[in-house]
Amino acid sequence: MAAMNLQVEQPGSKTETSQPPLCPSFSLLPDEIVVRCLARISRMYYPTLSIISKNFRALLSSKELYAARSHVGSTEECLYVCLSDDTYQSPQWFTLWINPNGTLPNSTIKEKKKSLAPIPSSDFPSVTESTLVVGSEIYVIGGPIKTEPSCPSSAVRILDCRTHTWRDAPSMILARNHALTCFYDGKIYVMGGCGVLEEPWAEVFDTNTQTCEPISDPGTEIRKGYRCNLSTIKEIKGKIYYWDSKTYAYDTRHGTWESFVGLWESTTCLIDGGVQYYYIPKSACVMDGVWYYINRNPLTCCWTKDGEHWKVVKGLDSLREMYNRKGGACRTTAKLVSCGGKLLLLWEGSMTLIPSKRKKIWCAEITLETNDEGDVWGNVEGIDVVQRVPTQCELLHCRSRCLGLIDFYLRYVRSD
Amino acid sequence: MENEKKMITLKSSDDVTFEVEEAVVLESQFLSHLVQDCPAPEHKIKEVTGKILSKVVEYCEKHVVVVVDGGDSSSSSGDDLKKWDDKFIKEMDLSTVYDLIAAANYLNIQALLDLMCQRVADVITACKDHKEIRETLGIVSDYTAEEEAEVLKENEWAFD
Repeated sequence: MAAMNLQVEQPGSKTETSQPPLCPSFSLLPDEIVVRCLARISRMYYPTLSIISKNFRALLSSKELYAARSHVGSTEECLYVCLSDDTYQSPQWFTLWINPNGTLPNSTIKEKKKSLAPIPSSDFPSVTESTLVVGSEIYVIGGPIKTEPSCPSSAVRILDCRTHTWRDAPSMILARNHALTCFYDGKIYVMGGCGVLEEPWAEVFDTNTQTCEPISDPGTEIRKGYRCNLSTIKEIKGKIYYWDSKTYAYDTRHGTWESFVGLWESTTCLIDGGVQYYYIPKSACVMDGVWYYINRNPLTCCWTKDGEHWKVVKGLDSLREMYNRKGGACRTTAKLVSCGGKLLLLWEGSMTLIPSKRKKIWCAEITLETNDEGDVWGNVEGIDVVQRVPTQCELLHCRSRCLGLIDFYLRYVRSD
Repeated sequence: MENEKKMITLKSSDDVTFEVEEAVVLESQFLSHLVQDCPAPEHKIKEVTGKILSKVVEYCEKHVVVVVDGGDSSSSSGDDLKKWDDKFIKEMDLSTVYDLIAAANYLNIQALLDLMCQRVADVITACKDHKEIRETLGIVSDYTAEEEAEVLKENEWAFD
């Protein structure tokens, strides 16, 4: 930051500088200084801060604030959740808010610990599972669009998680449904989600130049082998791999495709850094080099460092009991994500006995410890109802991490 | 090989003088340029009072040791320095904090400015609600009652 203006010193044995008046109060501090102060405060305080004054509110969604947050290294991981239902025009996005005063000893307010805070609508009626985190932005890619009957879309909407504003990206070349997407080296690779013979079957979107280009034809075998809902996608050493039983890859440097047919070929091509990615389920989440995965009924959380050997996270009996009592076991939509060094388990409460119009979304925070024997123990810090939603809302989908301010999000979309 | 250290005199707006080593002055970008451009023995800083300048000098003297004598037994380790910083800001009332922010901004001492901004952030997060923050920082809300109700409603998930 530059110093304030000054008039150049006078010649002589002494120098004198002159004088914008100094600030005796907070209100007289320049915005750039207020931003430097706010940058050191967790986003969880922003609801409270936005009520202080109009200027505070404007600064909280300014680009300068997020530049300052990056500069001081006070970035945070936040969870984003998307809900869709017939009563919503477009899917509704939320961010998980954890009350920062929840642990304040002399807080007078009766605190709710966690909540899903609504953010402005995308005005994009797509319920696609193809959502991708790039830096501090979430890309919502293509269809299906919520019409009767539903139809594919080539549109791409971007949510800026710093300012909670939406904008359009240039459309894809081809309209798609639930395409497989992978972010690598500044580019989003989009595959399938279209008819076997449609062109281009795959395309790449450059996030820097904001342009789309078709990817070379993978050939009929690869097109036919693709099952987008089941496949897991991952970049390893410049190749974009996707697999369910068989493994396929697109080499980003040479623009060529490969297929790996047998089990041995399909698994060995997915070993990187001692990790067997073939055996890590699509819905697993990773934190500090450890993958976690939940079996839903009965609820167990497993972990692995290599993809091959899985062990159970211990100490979660009370969570399992709560999960069963609050309807988690009746449904198949519980999701595990890692966020801010913790695991978060989200599930829907059951409403089988009460035909009310709303149901509860639950969220449990789990911290982890490894003991001397190498066992991982979970400690459940808080279980809260974070949202009440129309009964038709359903939690379907959850994605993995990439680096940036916003690391994780879940999606809820309605099942038909 | 130890050369005699070059001393520089800083004079505050109310004519309090501080004699400091040149290395201390170099902690401030602004003063570095001033000293380089104008090799006078004394520099008057009209914008900063003696009270605040003494704090600035105290901070810079503490922090310059680490850079100049790094590794020396007399120098402060990172942890010690952090403890010193914590104590330095905790003992300070808010009006001194604002004055130091302005002085650090003016003199372009980024580390001091960051430290003071952290103190303000700590003060804000220690408040229990928006009213206490306004009171503590002396901010008068410019929302009308309706506007404030609207912002409260927008954020009701956080408050109800």
